[in-house]
Amino acid sequence: MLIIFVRAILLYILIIFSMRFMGKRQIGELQPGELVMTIMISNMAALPIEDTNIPMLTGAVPILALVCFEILLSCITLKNKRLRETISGSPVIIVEDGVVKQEELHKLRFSIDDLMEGLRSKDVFDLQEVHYAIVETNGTLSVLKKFAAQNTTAEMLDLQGEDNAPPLVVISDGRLIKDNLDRYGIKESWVRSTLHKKYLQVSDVFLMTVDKNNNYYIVNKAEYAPANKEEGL
Amino acid sequence: MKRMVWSIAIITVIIGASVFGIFNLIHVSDEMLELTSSAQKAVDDEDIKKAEELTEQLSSFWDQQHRTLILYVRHNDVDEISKYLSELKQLLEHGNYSEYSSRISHVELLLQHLLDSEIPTIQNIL
Repeated sequence: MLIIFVRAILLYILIIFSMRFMGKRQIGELQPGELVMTIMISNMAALPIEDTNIPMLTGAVPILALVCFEILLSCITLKNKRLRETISGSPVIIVEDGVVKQEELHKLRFSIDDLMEGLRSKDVFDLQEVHYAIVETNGTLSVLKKFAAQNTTAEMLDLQGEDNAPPLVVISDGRLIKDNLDRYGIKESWVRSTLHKKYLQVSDVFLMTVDKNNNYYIVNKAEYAPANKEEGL
Repeated sequence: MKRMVWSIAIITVIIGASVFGIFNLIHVSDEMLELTSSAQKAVDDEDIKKAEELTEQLSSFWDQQHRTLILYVRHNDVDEISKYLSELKQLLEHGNYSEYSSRISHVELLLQHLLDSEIPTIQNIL
């Protein structure tokens, strides 16, 4: 049983490394080839765990081989559009200029129910609001609404404003994240003095975020009272 | 680009290790078959002392080699050969030469099967 335990841990580490090596996104956005790869890797990893007569290399080698092959293929398809279309397919327009393209729906075997479900997942409940709808290569639906149905933007209302960079986490679970401090040119001494004014230390803080304008937000660790959001000096 | 280079490197290592494994298996198999053949001939010539020496050589050679083999060959196949080899010495000591010959034949068959299973042929791949 100990052998199975050790093999399971080793193969788990190998799979984590493989997925990181491939640079995968979440499962919902995988291309068909990538989804096949993920399923195959999980099956191959199970073989040496289930049967200790099989050498561990029998599980590890095909996983590594497929991962490397996938990377090579993705590098080649990056440069070769035709190969990319052969492997991943092309996006298909199913609503164009407000008109449902029934022939394309039929080719995709996309039923009316699939179409309406896809639209609802994009917060569109009325087909008349749709200007363009495209089925992507990973099966998701992208929707462009007609102008009248689009959400209001600041530009439409002629509002002026600034583009602000998002706040970054500078303290996470009591530890300073120096990379993020450097990114916005924030000094560690400023962070410590800000915390000091609130009678806090870095180790007392669960979460602290700071933006480029030194606006900060602090969440204390559970045993302390919550801090208020303030503008930095 | 970096990932592509690493991928090519890993694939090269895998292919290299696989080829090494096959060559190692061929070497072990050839060596074992030579020893089994000599041991069988010694028994046929009723030179039992020589047969015992060769059997001892066979077992000790297998003990050294099988630790490497189990890294990439199914353990069942390797264990089967170990099982038969372990019986040979006792069979010679008890004068059971026909059984000894039968075991030697089994070992040779298993070695050949091991080799046939590992070499990439159309039959193995399909």
